[in-house]
Amino acid sequence: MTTAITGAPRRVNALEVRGLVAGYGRTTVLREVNLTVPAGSVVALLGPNGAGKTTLLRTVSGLLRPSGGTVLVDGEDVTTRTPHARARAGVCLVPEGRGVFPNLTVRENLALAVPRWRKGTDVEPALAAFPVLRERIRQIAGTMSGGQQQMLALARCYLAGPSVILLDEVSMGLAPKVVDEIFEALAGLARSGASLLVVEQYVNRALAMADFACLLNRGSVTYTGPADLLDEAELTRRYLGADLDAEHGTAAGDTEPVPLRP
Amino acid sequence: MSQILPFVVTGLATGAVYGLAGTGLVLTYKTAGVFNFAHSAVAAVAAYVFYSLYVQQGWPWWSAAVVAVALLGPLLGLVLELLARSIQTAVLALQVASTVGLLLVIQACLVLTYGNTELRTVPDFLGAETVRLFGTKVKWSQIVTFGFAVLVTAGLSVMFRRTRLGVAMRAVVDDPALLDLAGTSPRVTRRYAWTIGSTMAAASGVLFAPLLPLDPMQLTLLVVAAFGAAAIGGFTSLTLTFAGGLLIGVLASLATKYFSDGPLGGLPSSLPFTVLFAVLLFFPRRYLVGRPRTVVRARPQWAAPLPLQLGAGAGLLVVLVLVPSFAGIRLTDWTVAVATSIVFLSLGLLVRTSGQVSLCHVGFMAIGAAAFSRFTVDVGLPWLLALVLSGLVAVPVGAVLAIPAIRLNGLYLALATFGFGIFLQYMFYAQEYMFGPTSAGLEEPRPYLSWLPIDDDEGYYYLVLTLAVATVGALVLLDHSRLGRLLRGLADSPTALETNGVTVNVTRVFVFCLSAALAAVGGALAAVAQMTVSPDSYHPLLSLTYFVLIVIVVGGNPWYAIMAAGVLVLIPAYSDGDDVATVSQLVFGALSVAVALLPASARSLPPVVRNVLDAVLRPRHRTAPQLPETGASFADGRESEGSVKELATGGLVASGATLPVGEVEGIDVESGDLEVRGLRVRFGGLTAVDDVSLVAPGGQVTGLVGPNGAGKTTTFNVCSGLQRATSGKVVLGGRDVSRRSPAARARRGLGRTFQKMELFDSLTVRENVAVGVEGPFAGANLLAHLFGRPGQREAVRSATQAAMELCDVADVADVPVVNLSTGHRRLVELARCLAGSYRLLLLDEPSSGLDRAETARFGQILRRVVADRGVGVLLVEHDMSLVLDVCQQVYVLDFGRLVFAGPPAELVDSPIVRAAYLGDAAVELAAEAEATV
Repeated sequence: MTTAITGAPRRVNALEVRGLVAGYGRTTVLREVNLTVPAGSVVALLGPNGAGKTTLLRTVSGLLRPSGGTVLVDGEDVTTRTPHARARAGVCLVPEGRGVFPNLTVRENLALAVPRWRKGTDVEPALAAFPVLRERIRQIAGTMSGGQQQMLALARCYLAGPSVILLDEVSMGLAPKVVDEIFEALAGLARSGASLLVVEQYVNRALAMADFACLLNRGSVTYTGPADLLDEAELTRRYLGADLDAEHGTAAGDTEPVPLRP
Repeated sequence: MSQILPFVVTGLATGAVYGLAGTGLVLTYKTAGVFNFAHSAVAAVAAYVFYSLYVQQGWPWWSAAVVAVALLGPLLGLVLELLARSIQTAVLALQVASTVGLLLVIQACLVLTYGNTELRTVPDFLGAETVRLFGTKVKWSQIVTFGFAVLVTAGLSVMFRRTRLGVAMRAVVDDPALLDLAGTSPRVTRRYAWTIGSTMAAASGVLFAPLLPLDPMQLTLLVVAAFGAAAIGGFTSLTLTFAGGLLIGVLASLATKYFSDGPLGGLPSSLPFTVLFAVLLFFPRRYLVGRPRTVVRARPQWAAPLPLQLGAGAGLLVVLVLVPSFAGIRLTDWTVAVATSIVFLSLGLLVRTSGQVSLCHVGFMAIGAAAFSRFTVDVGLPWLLALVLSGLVAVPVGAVLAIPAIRLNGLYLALATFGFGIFLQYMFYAQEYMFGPTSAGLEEPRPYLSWLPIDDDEGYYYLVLTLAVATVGALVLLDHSRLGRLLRGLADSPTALETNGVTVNVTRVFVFCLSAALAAVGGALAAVAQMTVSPDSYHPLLSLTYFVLIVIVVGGNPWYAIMAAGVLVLIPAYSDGDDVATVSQLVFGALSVAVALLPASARSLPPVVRNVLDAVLRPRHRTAPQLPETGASFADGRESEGSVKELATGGLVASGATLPVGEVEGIDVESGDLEVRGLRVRFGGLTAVDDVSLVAPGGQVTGLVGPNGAGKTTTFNVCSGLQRATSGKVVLGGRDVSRRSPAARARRGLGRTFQKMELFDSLTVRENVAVGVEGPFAGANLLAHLFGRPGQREAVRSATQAAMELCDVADVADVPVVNLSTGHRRLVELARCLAGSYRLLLLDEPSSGLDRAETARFGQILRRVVADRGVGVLLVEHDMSLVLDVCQQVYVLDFGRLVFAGPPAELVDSPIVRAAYLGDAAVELAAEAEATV
């Protein structure tokens, strides 16, 4: 899988998010988020649970309407478009959970990923890139293992040939060995020149393949820059509690049970 | 065999049409998630258009069929798609009312255009000639009908497999959002589905046309048989639905051979509904229950200021008392209207208060009227006793009907009641013990007292008025009583009610029975006003008008009932034309469609009017209190840390309001330890929780953490009983509760909150919190649903107040929770848990959606609660600083397995935990090795 995904070389950023504000009801989750995915690069989007990573991906893909800011795909403003219009403009999201239709066969899943205007429903490129799917082409997707389903989700993205691929925790709930395979597939996508925005719970592995990292905390970007400049201490601090060192002593003192009141 | 075969052949032909209609119905229901009650009306309209063009205008049959099916079908499909889109996330009652309203509109239009007196028949346009097949005569029309239906259904199956559109339709059922992400518009896909489904309904109508003389009512009901077919297909499978249609057709046809009269004489016509009902009652649950729907959050109902309500009530009462002086010959209509308002009160209790649906309330009225006549005329019971008994007769019927609601969901209750209304008409209206075989009419005697003239029209009017006023009073009281709160809670969140100790199935059945009994009494009173009644007054479709009215009329309890009864009974009484009833049905139907199309905000009084009324008539101190800023006491994060530290040294504990534990009596509370032993949960092939054992002792906070998808919430759901474990035990206070219901566990002292908060949105903070205390009181006990024991009222009040103060929400006590910020809502949910005498609380991600200051405040309150009340807490939380801060013991889950258990200090240094969170491959393997040891 080398050429299909890239197409013509891109002059602009694959994805650019400017001053994005979004939330649910009265709860604001994203506060003025700025983020750029340069064409052909991998960006790891990191942050503790509840930081707003999934919300950001949902807003970029159009599932959630932002209350402010703009989303540009290949330099084109798509902020007011529906999800399917954005998909045609080149956004592909692999959502949290399983990004497949569980009651459809593998072939049908792939066929729906082929853009409508392309002649026929040729799923061959995806089968060549993800050979594990070839032998299961008639299987109902929901009956495959979690890892195979994620492979299918990635293959769907591959077929769609988007400008930018958004991946939301694709390794979630998978056994370690399968996670390795998923990461290999992601690396393959990256090598083929695709632009990726990756949300991953396996932070170190995500950073290993990323060109840039973006740290999100409580809806605001707290770090953005080259991936290799983020050190482990900083990461631990952000993941296992915002101010771990400061409260370490407190936590240790807490092992004494609080006395019961009569 | 040769005797049965002709019946089978006829049955296959009609069954194929049922199958065709049913398949179209399932197609639209699955793709759009909206059940189309007007499906049969589409068929009826097509049949009449075909009749007009073919019979009246003399067109060739095929061109008439093209217009009726290929033109009209898609057109109505587009209208339905528009309607379905606007009600997709509406509450169930509104959803049902919108398509039922459309059915009423279409049916009324047909009656107005074609009347129902003239006999209209359509000749057998597909060929009346016969051929001999397997030794029996078969009409060409039967062969063509069967062949056409099979071809269309088969074609649909092929389309689903082979075409992109068909695959997209199946995909939209699986996951509309994902289809959207894949570049195909779910809306357009659904539009195609509606077009096809509606065209199939139209085709079934045209095929039905030659079978019977055209009658708007009959046609509408005939295709309702498609519901039975759809039920056999589990409302999912197109092929099974078609097969179900054939089965129903053949069974109904055979039934005409064996049961033409006698007690089962109604069986052939009622067979589809019998099948529908049997499926809803007896088919396995998993076969029918679909995905839960997302429903937009309820808005609090604006209630007019009390002085205005009291004034209007007094004014209305004066007018009603004066009615006999001006009503003249229409006094009986007024009596019927007042009696009908009792029926509407009963329906409102069910629909508007508890959020359930009934499409057969006229059936209950018929039962009440018939039973009353039997009790007084045949048995000779005293009048009042007979009235009470006729109400009681409806109770078991209501209980049976409520079963689908318990087993399945609200939509199936709507279907079951719809089917039941029609079933009742076919099966029982003509029976000796109901209206009698001749349907000549039942005598309904007036009451007699020697000292008070209540048997003439005027006296009886006053008697009914008195009873109606008493009912209004009782229901207004009920609204403010424990049952009222429980019912409104049931409408907002059955899950929350169940986890607060109320066995909601008892509540559901109870309210349905109560409503049925009240409707039967109202029906009997109305019947007595007319002296004689016949089955014509109780047509099942009238139930639909009742339902639609109760959904669309504005105003709170009891105004909606009075208004609905007034417009339904008095408008026809005071107008002359022949078609008044039909026109009003048309108007009500159209209004309910219009309400469904309006945006949610436009469904009540304009805010300007409300504000003026509030400003003029509501006492100052009762106006909505100002919402304080959440976390206002913390200027920034730094300061909040300071407070938390202070708290850790015990500095803040004293500021908590104290509530003596055990003050609330009457609940069996044991020591609070929660123990989970060897828990394993599998979903299909995935093991979500694998051999997890943990202990959450009373009097301390135990943390349960882990990355997303590690199985934390699943563990919680098993603990509180919302989910069954594959194996393993849940032990609460030393007793195994693995097989207990969530409500029973709550009554044993297990409280919980939800990551996605489950609050009673239309209730105020105080009422929400009070349910925490009252839930276990009500429990599974019917009487306790209605009445509290002496002293409970005070206990509820003080426990509610203490819990609100403990959680710092006392200042917003009278605000509906829907208006609160996320931070406040979390605190209300916690307060609801604390109000009851729960000894162990399961808190699921309480800090999600809270900002830093709010999280710190939450942690502070949590410590205070544990210290003051001695409760135990099992905390699922992703905010590690909160976990490290409040927990004495932490368990870490990864891939459904326990990978760490120990004090928080060790947690931070544990390489295994780092691996779980950061996913370092090397440490990952070490963890695995350790876990298997």
